[in-house]
Amino acid sequence: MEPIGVSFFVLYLVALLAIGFWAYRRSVRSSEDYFVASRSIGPVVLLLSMAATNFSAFTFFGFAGASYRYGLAYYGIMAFGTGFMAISFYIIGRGVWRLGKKKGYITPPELIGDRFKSDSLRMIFLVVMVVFTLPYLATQAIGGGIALEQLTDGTVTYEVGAVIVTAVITVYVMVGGMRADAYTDVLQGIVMLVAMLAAVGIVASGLGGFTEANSRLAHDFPDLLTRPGGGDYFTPQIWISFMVLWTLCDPMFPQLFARFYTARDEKSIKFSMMMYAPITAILFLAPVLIGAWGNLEFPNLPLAEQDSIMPKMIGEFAPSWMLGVVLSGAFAALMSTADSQLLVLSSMLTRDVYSKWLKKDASYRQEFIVGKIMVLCLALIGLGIALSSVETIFDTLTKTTFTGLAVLFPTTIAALYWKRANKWGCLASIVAGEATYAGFYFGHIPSDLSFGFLPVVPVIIVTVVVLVAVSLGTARPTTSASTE
Amino acid sequence: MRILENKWFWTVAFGALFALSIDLWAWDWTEPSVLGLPYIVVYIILLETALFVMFVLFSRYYWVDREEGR
Repeated sequence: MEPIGVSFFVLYLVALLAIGFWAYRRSVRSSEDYFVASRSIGPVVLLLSMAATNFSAFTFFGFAGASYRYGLAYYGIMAFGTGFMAISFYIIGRGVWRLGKKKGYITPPELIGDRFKSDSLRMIFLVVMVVFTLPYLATQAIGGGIALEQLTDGTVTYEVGAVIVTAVITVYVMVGGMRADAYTDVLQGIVMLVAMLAAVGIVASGLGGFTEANSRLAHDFPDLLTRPGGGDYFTPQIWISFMVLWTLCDPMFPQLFARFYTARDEKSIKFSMMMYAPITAILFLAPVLIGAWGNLEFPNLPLAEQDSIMPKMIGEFAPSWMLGVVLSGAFAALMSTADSQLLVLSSMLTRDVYSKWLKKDASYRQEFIVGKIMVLCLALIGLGIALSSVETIFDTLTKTTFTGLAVLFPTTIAALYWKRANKWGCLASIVAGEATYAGFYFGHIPSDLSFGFLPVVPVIIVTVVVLVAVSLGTARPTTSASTE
Repeated sequence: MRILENKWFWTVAFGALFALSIDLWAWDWTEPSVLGLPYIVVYIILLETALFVMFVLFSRYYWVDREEGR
């Protein structure tokens, strides 16, 4: 166990808790303050909060592993796809922020339900968001357990690591709410960026320099520099599918959707949109390069070990204490996602279940207290999933999160822009979209029918067609809200 | 700069940029390269730069509203 690396990590955890208590001292005892920081988050904090929330443990370990397998072209679908997604900050974020400010919305389902005057739609929107986010929350605890075990050379076991990471997140989210969440994201975003840049610099230097590393890769593994890439992965259909997937799915992550409510003004959202492209361009290059370069030092790794190529490469070229710094970057990525998921799930269960069905006259203060209890319960559920053996269901839900949430995109667009849309169209769209996806996933619909695309493409076509057809085929809505 | 205040200009511009990201015409290119990075990485960095510039202009000239702010 490397003392400097571990000390750095402990210092990082202490800093997170300190921010949590600082946020508590600035807080007001109301649900609006607890869940959306009284809509006071400015441009720089919002940008770093959006980025840190969006980039999870997958950004560190998953990107590098995928690049190890498929090559540098992986950068294209991840960086541009995610950067382009920021256009939704205007298309969706602007309208969500305006409606939230005007009508006091805190959660995504209450905006959708109120827009279409439908409790059923609000509930189905809630269920889809919770079902696909909860397992994803658990993966962050799993990532934390694995990373801590690695950092301490097994002195801290995976189980204890998962408990420590979950406990720290739970404390600062319970204590400081969204304000703690957003400001810890700033620290986590900076740690993530520094760790990534340090890692790529160290590894490139160890391989004889940046250009030399790429030249060796081109000589020894030429297929990793072009498309279709390793394993002939990058077909045009796969490329198009990923570009579509990120654009539609990322803004439907409830933790990102709800971030729009927290903005102080539209300028804050604009600034986040503008800076998203440079952030993805810089941040995503590092793990992709390290992953592909990993073939030079660790060729032919079995599939199960490929996602750990990043720490392997750091361990190979950096002093041992540096591994602690880089792994803190990974912790930053996963914890900044997990804390936001925890808070937004709590807000939805509080506002869309407790206040909607159990105690209709709940005050902001009562919601504030229930919200904290929900955070604790959800953290325990996430930890329970991480430590239990329900892998089949869990794996299925995690793998399906992105497309499962993308199904909500057409309904959200209809809510903001299409006055003729009605609740029947949206309900049918979501049900048809999820059913179609389940059909593809479980093999009830032949995969040939996706014509080489990922299921997200036919699924989105189905959801749009059903939404339009059913809305036009049923009664015109009598009342509606709009963004303007 | 009136064109930058036009909805259809931005619809076409962002649509075109998205279409450019699906560069089927250069699927198997590796050259030219910069610092040993292959064409596709350099190309994506250029597209991201263009995206950044477009977002800046879009925010400056199109996404403006008298109600903006508090």
